[in-house]
Amino acid sequence: MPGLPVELVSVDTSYGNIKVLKSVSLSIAAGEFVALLGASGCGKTTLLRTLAGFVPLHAGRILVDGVDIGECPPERRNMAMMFQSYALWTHMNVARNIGYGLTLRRFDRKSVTRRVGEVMEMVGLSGFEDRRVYELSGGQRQRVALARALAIDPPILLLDEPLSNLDARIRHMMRGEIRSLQRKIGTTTILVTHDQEEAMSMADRVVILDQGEIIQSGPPEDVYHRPNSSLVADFVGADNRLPVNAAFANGHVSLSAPGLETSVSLPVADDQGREGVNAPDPVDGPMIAQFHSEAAMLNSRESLPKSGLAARGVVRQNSYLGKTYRHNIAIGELEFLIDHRRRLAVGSAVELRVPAAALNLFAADHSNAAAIPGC
Amino acid sequence: MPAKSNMTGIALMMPALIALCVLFIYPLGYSMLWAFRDEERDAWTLANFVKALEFYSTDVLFTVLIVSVSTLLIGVCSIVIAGYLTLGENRAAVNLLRWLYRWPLFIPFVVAGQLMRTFLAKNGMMNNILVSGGIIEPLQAVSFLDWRGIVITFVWKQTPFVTLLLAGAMAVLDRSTFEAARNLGAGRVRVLIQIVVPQVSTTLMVGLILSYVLMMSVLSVPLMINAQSPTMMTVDMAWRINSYGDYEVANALGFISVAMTAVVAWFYLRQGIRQDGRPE
Repeated sequence: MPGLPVELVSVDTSYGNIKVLKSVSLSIAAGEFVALLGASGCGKTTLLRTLAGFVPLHAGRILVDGVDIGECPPERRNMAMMFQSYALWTHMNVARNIGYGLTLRRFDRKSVTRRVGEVMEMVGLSGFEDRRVYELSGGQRQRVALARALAIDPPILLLDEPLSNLDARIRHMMRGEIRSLQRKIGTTTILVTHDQEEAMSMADRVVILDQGEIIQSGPPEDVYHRPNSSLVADFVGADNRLPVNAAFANGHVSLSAPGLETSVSLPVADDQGREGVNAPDPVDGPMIAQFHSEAAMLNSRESLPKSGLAARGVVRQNSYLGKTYRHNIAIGELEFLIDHRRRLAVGSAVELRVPAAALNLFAADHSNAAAIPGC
Repeated sequence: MPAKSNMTGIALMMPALIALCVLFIYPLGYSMLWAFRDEERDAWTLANFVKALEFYSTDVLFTVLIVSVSTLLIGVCSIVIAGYLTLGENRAAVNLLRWLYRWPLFIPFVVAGQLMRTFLAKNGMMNNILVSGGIIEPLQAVSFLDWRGIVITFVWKQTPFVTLLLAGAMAVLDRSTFEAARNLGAGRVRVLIQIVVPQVSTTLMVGLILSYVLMMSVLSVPLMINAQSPTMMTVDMAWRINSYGDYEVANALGFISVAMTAVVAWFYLRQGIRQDGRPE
């Protein structure tokens, strides 16, 4: 069955007196893969459970292909959900787990067997039909849960942190497999995760939630490179913070800070595609510049970009991450985490440059200021 | 060192073992053995069994039927109540039921029997309510103080016990397993029958077996509700002892009771062995 469009209109839900979702509105196109990303308690799982019908709607509407399903019980919503714990039934074997949804839909035994065989082959579980669930590894259970959800050929697939219980190797492999399966069958898919890498690598669109509200929604590249708030920047890993003084004029921003060599003037990115500093709310005065660890460049031997922030610092510590080394660089009282492909000796002086396109500028509000040492 | 440790272990176990032997195994064995004894002729015999079955075979059948029907109904009622406590969505109704269902647990069998006498008699409370509610005419009122009364009393008294075990077992199940079934299209009744009950089947079986054995041994309820023939074997045993001092036939009836409970105990033990062999 092809995917169906989903629309949430001003959705409110509460647990007792605690409002969990606050007027959430979101449109998801048919066949789109959307990842709901946010910290624990932000409301992402509640949003998914509200869609599935396990959390009652207090206000708003949920439209599937234009039909309001907000009052429908879970069993009538025709959505398949894959649970974080997999929620497999230990009293049934693998084939019965996968075929349960088909039996409920009154498929005859032959059709159930055929369809179960198809989806088991699809997820690479052929030959496991008669195994008991408790005889399977974590990765195999995860595949059974996915196969069970896919067996009914759902127009909408809900994934609640499906990979969080798997080890890193299988998790990376399953990301690709789920994504390619979703593309193949065209099901509208909504993934809940707190892992930004998982969200970015799997979804067409990433929706970031905080305290029951959507704070940014867009393609992974946009969210990663052009976060619209300090919170989103933090969440996508741009957690190096430098307090600066900014002055905006003629599409450029002039930045100065105690640790910087000189005041620099950098282009500001705009909607027409001009590359430069991401400054969603430009204001003259104190601001916070945030950037990713891998976006900054170290050491004068390398060809550093001409335009960007430049500062001199000292290596305080380094650690090996596999593909790269992460260095703690002290610049004045501030410390930054910067990746570099070679290990730099502790105590050595380094030059740091951050390209304009890697910088995100946000207003230095109270919460930002409090997080910055010495600010 | 291991030998000393073994001796300590045996010493610690001894009080319990002695208590078990003196208070349970010896009296049971003695009573079982005496079922095969003819004191007058000072000989071993099967005559007590022949006599017991000749006089009370209808009561044996009656007992099996009463206890089996009661066990079945207790199972159904406890599944329904525990199921609603687990899957019910009306919090007020769930809380009210949770508060109410345990009451019979604290009422002794003899009080339950007396209570049911006043409730189920021809002019009892149940018929009065039905008549005053216009559901039946006064002439249609019948007494339930027969086999039905015993079954109702047993079910009323034992359902909370099995429900307590079952609701506890259901409460610790992963709720996402219920939600997964609902998500795929199963209604709540189907979720209860196909997903929840199979996962707590061992607890259900234990509760029902314990209830079965307990009902087999209850004297007060059949005595107060239905002492006429046919009645339950406990009444017959009490009658043989109190009226005739006939311990041999009473012991033979007791032996038959134990044999009947042994059948269900075998199921219980078999289940335990199977579970131990299953990896978690």
